[in-house]
Amino acid sequence: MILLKNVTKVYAPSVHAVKNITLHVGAGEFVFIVGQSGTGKTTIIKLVTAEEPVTSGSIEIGGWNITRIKHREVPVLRRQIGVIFQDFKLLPKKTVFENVAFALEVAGEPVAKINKIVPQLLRVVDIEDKAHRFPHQISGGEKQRVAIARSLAHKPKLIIADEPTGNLDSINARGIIELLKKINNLGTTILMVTHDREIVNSQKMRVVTLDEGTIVNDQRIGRYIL
Amino acid sequence: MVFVTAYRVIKFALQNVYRNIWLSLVTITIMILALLSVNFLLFLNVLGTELIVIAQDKVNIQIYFKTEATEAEVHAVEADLLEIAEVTNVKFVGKDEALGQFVSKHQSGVISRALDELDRNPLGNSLYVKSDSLDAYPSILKHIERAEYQKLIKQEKLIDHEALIAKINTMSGTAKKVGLFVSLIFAVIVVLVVFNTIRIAIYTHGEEIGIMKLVGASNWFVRVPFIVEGLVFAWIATLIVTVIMFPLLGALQPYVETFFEGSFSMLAYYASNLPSILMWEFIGASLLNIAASSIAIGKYLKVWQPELEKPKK
Repeated sequence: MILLKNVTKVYAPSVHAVKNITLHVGAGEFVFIVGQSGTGKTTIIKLVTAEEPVTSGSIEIGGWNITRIKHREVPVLRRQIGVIFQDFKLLPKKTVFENVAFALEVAGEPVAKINKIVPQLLRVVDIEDKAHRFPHQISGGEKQRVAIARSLAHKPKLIIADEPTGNLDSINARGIIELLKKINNLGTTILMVTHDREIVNSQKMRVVTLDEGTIVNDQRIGRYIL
Repeated sequence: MVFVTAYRVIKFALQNVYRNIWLSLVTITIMILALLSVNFLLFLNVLGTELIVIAQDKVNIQIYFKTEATEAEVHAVEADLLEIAEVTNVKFVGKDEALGQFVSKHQSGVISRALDELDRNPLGNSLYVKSDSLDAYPSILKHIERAEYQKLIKQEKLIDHEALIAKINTMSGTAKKVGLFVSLIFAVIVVLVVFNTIRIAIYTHGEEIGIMKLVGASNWFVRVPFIVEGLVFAWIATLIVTVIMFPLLGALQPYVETFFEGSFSMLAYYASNLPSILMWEFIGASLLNIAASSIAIGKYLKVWQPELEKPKK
């Protein structure tokens, strides 16, 4: 599903955020990427979503080499990957329903399809009763559920989660992880960056550990070892 | 697909307007002030031009002939002057008519008694020459100064007019130059204020634009609602300014009417030119909005372009 080959990212003037990383994530896997702040976790997310270009190496997503992705193809790529962020990144002036619908509207989906899919997605993340509220009218956990619903809008094969539990209390954090596991069980690959030792250790999933921009550990059933 | 997308961008634009109502009100208010300034400038120019037209209308060359000059000789001069292309009108005032006017103006006093002492009309025939161009008067004067006319005309009257014409010409030229300069400065200020207001409005949407991009919106899909929003602002501001202008001009009308002795009405001018004023104000405000929005949004639409930054092999 994801193949990073000898990927290096250097920010000007000479900050090596990621150094010669090779990583393969298979279809249907749930992978935690862990590491201390500044070890290159978020940079990997930015490279995979084509938010940043690689300095050297190559990246493939579902067989699509995005290293040389064209400018006009970036929106197409992003519609095929569900992305979840620590700060939710919801559109503040749109309701819960509209936030999820927006992901479909940008792809030109017809109104009838949107009106059918969005309530289903909100039901999956258990927030359909707050469909007409604005983001400032719901809790952090609920915001993250909306973000997950939005990320599922295009039925992506891959979901990338950048510290999705970072702004949540432990109960909400567990709820989000359970939701992601449920999505993973339906066949969606999940790549999750996190700092949360407890969550990582309790899930018994694959853990990739980064340190100073390189992979220092990659365990099939791993633990948070830093 | 095109209609669905068009419907969506218009819907998003209108949602932006009413869900950011305070920001929208501030932007519209700034545009209203800018358009009012433009209207103020427009009317200043119109009033200035009207003043010059009226002043020009009052300028003419008055040729006072000697008493010895016969009516036939004066009519010959009149016919000759009408041959000049720039001369629009020549009015003949006979010596009897001139005396009648003079008597009615000075019915009592020394002048009237002095006239009674004379047994003849001391006034000669006269011609009033008008041209549609102030620049033409010096050449008309030169024509009148020809030798064959000099024996018929009291020349000192012509010199006074020459000075007046030159003065009005200079004033009119200076007024046009100053008006243009002030207009340009004003226009630059208005453009900068509106431009920055739009930029600040877009700046507050910066994070939102980033999110739209992250969920797969194309640049076009992000940009167009903001442009449509700008057009909505321009349209609302133009309409409000029109609504404000009518009572404003109505309140000023008595003063303008007194000043121009009823020959010019700003209200009538505004009403008769309303379609073109409305159109140009809307076009100007819209173009300004589109330019400012496009530039401001462009900053937030930056995505990686492989053509510009190719990865190392």
